[in-house]
Amino acid sequence: MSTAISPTAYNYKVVRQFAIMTVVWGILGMGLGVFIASQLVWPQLNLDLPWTTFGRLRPLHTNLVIFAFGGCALFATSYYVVQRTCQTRLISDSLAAFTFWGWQAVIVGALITLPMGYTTTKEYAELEWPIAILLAIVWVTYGIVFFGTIVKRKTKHIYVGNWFYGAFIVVTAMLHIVNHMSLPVSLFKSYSAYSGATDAMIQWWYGHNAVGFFLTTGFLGMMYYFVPKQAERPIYSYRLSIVHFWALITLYIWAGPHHLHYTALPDWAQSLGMAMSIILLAPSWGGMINGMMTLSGAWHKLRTDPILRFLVVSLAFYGMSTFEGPMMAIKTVNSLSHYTDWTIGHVHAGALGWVAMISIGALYHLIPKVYGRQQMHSIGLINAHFWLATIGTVLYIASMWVNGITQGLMWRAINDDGTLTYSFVEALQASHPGFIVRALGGAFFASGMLLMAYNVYRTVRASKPAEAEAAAQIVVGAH
Amino acid sequence: MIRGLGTVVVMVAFIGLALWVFSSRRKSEFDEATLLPFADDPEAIKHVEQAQARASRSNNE
Repeated sequence: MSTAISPTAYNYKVVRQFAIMTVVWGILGMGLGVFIASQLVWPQLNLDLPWTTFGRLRPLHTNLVIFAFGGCALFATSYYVVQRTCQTRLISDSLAAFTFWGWQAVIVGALITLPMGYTTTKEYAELEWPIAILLAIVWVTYGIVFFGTIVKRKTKHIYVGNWFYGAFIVVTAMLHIVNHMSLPVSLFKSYSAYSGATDAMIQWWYGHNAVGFFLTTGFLGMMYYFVPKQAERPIYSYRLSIVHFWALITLYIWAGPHHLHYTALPDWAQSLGMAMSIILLAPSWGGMINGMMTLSGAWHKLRTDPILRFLVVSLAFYGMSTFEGPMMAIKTVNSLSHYTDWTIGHVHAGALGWVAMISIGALYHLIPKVYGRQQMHSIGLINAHFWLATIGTVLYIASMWVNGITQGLMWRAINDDGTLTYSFVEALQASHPGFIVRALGGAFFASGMLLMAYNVYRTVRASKPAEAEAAAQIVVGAH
Repeated sequence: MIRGLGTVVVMVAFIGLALWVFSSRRKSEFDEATLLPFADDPEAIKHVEQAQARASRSNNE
């Protein structure tokens, strides 16, 4: 086992930049989520201004948490993982820097245009065409940097985590470009190239795969590196990870129509979407079990390591929401759950429990490493963050289950003469207690991010430039 | 007809993948690949190898 320091170093600068911005955008995006959740409790909080109404701030919230927080976490971890598992530096520092500044520019663009009311009206694809084009250019550059680095790797194999990151990059580019095809009529107004039910189908092909590839496949790449690394145990089954990869990317792309049950979409397409959604349970749970079982024989590590706890609990939430999803895609269940708060609860079981918690765990592992520190400033604060995040997520999803089922049952209740038993407002009033609990749960979760920001600030401040530089050295021949 | 063909192609691909993945000839490659997260970290690879040695000793007893 000879250990030699190679003359070259990893590009940790771009990883550090994206990691810090993950925390910044996380606080902003989740804070905004708490604000709009409070608007549903106290409607006066819309302040009677057009820029601060729920309808304009809600897409800003989703853009900030998905693309700003989640996106920066994916950039940071993918650049880190691809360099370390390929044992080589990113192919281009300037292209990597362009992806950082370009991505931040897209987010600032969203921050300005969405409250002003500029929107394509397509969910999760609201950004108007000039920003969408910038996003596409940044994304293609990201692909060049990522795959270029894989091409010049020093290792024989491409680690499975990189396969997941690679699929996430390729498919996200495809989805974004196809769904955004539009005809601009002015600087901030465009019309979709598709019409009617086709437009809806393409939108939810995009929308569901934004979940499937942006919010799942990318974060599974994260899981395949950070869970084994933090547990210091190789992944449970490398073979299962390969089957997991091919099965997941083959099946996810077909599930979109379940967002359009009982609409103008042809019936066969709805049934196909439902069937494919149910089949999707198999690869999802295969991956979840693979991650969980990595801990087999080392469960005691969870007692002392709150970072590992973040990672493993995120997998538990992943398993839960990938069971709930296929169930909600069944048409009869969907007829109860659709358009109710159950959907919002389901999304947040995935977004808070899975996406955010695995990102937070990965960042607590990664930040000390890229700043040349032994560990985070305070392990106690990580533990406090873990409990705030877990309690917040549970409050959020439990309140939305109660609300969703209440709303679904009240909306479908009919009297003997066929008239509706309840008016919409009565169902809304019944939802009020749930809205309060949801805002509280969100506040728990967002306050955990403030602890994280302080912890990160102290860790970064304690790092000396020489330490950080030494940490970036590539150690080869370690095995 | 063409839709049925699609199902057959995907089924053959999946069975082929499973056979390829679980072939014993692939074992040494996968054993190597699975250690990649630790390969550039002397401290971590030491811990992982020690743990694996302990596990194989207790399996042999």
